[in-house]
Parts: sequence; C-alpha cells; structure tokens
Amino acid sequence: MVALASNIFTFQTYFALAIFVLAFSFIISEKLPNAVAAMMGGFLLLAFHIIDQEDAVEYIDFDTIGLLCGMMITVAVLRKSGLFEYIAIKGVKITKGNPWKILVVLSIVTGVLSAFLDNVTTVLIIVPLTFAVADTIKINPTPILFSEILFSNIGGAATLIGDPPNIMIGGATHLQFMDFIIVNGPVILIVSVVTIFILRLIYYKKLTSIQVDTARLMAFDEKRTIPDKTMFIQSMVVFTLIIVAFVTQHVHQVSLASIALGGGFLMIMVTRQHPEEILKEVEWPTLFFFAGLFVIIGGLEKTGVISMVADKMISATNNQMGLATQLVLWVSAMCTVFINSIPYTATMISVIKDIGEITTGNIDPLWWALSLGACLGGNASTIGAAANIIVAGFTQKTAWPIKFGQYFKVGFPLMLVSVIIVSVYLHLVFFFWGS
Amino acid sequence: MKLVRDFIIKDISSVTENSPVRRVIKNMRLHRVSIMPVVNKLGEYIGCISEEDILEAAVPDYMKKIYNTSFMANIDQIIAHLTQILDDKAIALTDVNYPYVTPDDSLEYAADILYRTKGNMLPVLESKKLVGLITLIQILSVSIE
Repeated sequence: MVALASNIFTFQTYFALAIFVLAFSFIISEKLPNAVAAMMGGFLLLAFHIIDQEDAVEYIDFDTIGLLCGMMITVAVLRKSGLFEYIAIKGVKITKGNPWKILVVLSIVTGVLSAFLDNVTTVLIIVPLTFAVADTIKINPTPILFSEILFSNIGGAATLIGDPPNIMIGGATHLQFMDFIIVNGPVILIVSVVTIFILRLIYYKKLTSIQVDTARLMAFDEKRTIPDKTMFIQSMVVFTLIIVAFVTQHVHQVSLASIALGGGFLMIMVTRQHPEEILKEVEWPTLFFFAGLFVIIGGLEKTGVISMVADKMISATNNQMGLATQLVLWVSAMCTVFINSIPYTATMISVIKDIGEITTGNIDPLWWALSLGACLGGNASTIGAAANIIVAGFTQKTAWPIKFGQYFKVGFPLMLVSVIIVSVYLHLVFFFWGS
Repeated sequence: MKLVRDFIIKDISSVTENSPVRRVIKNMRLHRVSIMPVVNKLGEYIGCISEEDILEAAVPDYMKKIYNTSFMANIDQIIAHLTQILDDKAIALTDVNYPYVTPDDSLEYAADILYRTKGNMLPVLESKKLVGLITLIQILSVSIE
C-alpha cells in the first residue's frame, strides 16, 4: 500500500485523472453527448501513450457490451410483436378504470418489464400509453408517471439484465443471473410493497375521488396491438428461450454476451426480420459510451488511482466488510441522485475489484451494495437515471410537465426509505445471519 | 421550357393570420384544396397551412410515440383534440417555410419540389404577393395534352 502511494503521482496519473474528471464533467453537464465525451477521453489516453492499444482493448468489457447489444436486438424485435402494449392495455382494462388501480397495475407492469428489458425502453413504451389512458379518462397522469419512474428503477434492480449497473456488475464479476434474483429479488419485492404503500398514502384519496368515463377506456382493443400473430408467438418462444438460458447459466456456463447476442440473432432469424432494420434500432451511442468509459477507467487503473481509492476505502472502514458494504451502498445511492449511474458504476467496479485483490474476505456484499445503491439512488430525482430523464422530458411538451422539485419531494424520501430497507437487508443477510 | 406562369390557378382563397383554424378547414373544404395560403393584414404572403399541418396539431403527442395505436380505434381522441384547437389563430399552424414558386420558374422545378415534399399544391408568389396556386395534377396533365 505504502509503496503504491509513494510513486503514484506521476505525469501519467495526473493526465489520466484529468481526462477522467473532464469526461465526467462533460457527461454530467451534458455539454457533450455521452458517447463523444467517453470516446474522446479514451482516445486522448491512447494518443498520449498513457495506455497502449492492447491494454485499451483489454480494458473494454466485451461481456457487458455484448450483453447490452444482444438485449437491444432482442427488444427491437420484441417491440414489433406488440406484446408490451398488449400486457399494459389488458392490465389497465382489468382495473375497470379506477385511477388508483391503474397506478398499481401500470407500476407493476413497468417493474416487471424493466426487470427484463432496459428501463429506458420500458418507459418509452409505458409512458405514452399512460398518457393515452389518462387522456381517455381525463385524469392528471402525474402520480402514475412518478410511480412508473420509481418502478422502472426498482424493477430494474431485480435482475442482472434489468439495469445498466447490474449488467456491468454481471459482466465484470463471477455473479450470475440467478445470483441477482436470489439476492436482489427479495429485497426488491419488499421495497416495491413499501413504495406502493407510501404512494397509497399520498395519492389514494386524490385518485379515487375522480369520476371517470370508463366506457371509453373499455373501448380499448388490446388485440389490435398484435399485428402478426405468428411473429408474436415466434418472438415469445425465442424470448422465453433466452430467459431460460440466463436462468440456467450456472449449468451451461455460456457467457452473458453470447446468450444475448445468440438469442438476438436467433430472434431475427426466426421472425425473418431484416437485420439492417433491426440493427438500426441498437443504441450504438450507448455501446460506444461504455467502450470509451472502460478505456478511461482503464487509464485510472493503470496509473494507480483506482488502487489508491481502494486503499482509502479499506482504511476508512478499518477493513470491516460490514462497514464497507454500508459505505458503498450509501455513497452509491447519494452519488447517483444527480450523476449518471453508468460512469459511477464503471469506476466503482474497478475499485471493488481492487479491494477484492487486497483483502482476503468475501467481497460479494460490496457488489450487491453497489448494484442496489446505484439502481435505487437514481429514483431520487428526475435526472437520477436515464429513464427518469426520458419521462420528465416527454412530459414537458404536454399539459402535465413534471418539474424537478415536484418530483424530488416524492422521489427523494422514497429513495431514502428504499435504501434504508436495503441497508438493513444486506446487514441481516450477510453479516447477521451470514456470520 | 414550360413556365409556371402559364399554369397558375388564379381563382383561389386565402386566410389572414388571425383567422381561426375553423375557417381554414371550411375554406379548404369549400375550395377543395389541400393547402391554404396565409397572408397578413397588408395582403402579404406569410406561409401556408396544409392538411397535414392541421392533422399534426390534432394528433396528441403521446399517440405519435406509441408504436401502434390501433387499439385506440374506437376512441375519438384526434377529433376531440382537433375540436380544442378550432379557435386557435391560423398563424399558430402556419408553415412559414412552406416551399413556393414564382411565375418565372420552370414547371420541372415545381414538379421537383412537389416530388420532394410529397405535396400536391404550391403557392405562386410574385415578390411578396400571392398570385395563385399550381397543382400537381396540372403538371402531370402536361404530358397528355
């Protein structure tokens, strides 16, 4: 530790750190598109020979990028099937037009969908539908939209493929699909129930006092959302296969990226889609954003900044894993209130890996703390996660714009409650019962 | 070379910037045109409103974002929203960048613009004054005459 610290501050260190800070501030301030900031940062590290080409390629976690890309392909085909609209509309009709029940149903649909799709895709599907429902029965959609934001992040935390932080942690560690469901699943269920309960306290009266025109809502015809039945069934079968492959990953040990990419292209093949059309739907900027970030953080790793942070964390927590877990959880939650969880998680993954190399204990609790903290922290503000930004942005042109402060008053306290629950849960599972 | 000048329909209708959208639709129906030129108090041309512009304003934003809205087939959302904007001023929907031609432009030039914009009518302007319209069918008819 001392040896590292003494020779740490070279030109290379400062340069790598400067690139990191610069890229980070461009990303947070949105002065540059994420992908551009990250790729330019990565390029500068290579151009000034802070890291060489082989290192750079090594630092890029292709398991994460392949997994993201594969899921994007899968979802692009799945969207065409009309499945998601079908589920949402069917659910809304079950409520018979009761606005509070609509909130609950759409929150559950959002939570479940974002556990298996990425959150942005989920809200892009659910939010316009919510407006359609609200406009049809003439209610203010804001409470429902708040709940959907919350549940897109809560649901996303439940699985390895649900949220970018989890995808990155899954890609970088030995943790597998079922590990996420076993560890994060129960606590996410508790957080969901508590969140619905608190939302009920806030909105139940307001929502149930409205008289709504249910006939217009019941006139929605969910069967029309499925344009092609054969394609619907084909894509459902392939999607089920992909999920089964994820769930049984501990048996066959095929990598996450391979399952997702293989599944994605199987989806294209079976449903006879045009690859050009489907591949256009892949969010290439996001993939380049990740690639650039991995290189920038690789620069920090190589120049010793990461191990310095890891050392500091170990000494700050006196080498006690229980304390370190809480520290990671709360720092992650608080950091992701305002900053993008993706660069934050990418950095912390390196730090935690380094901690794992220095200490002898089991560092798994740190991974769960990072995953749950980074996913749930985003719930606090309209800019805390990509899905929140999308929803708030969408409402600005409508009659019901979501204001930062208006959301923060609901989101921040609910985020605190959820992180307190997680904090107690992690302590009980890993340090109370576990020890 | 055939010129726009020889194909102008001069008997046309226009609305002022302060006319309600209601009048725009009525005029379009009465004159069987798909665009309505908008002029200011001095009679100077400002721009055009097309049928598509009105539809664009009437379809709610959320419907544009839904992948497939056919499940709303039995709902009158678009008409309901259109009713709300009937008393808005025409200027709100006016496309000030709507393409136009002058009498001295060639017919091919007008045809090319219509092809690119997928429109079927263009206003014909002489300096700032509206002198008439030229329609796609007139241009197409040239070949059979």
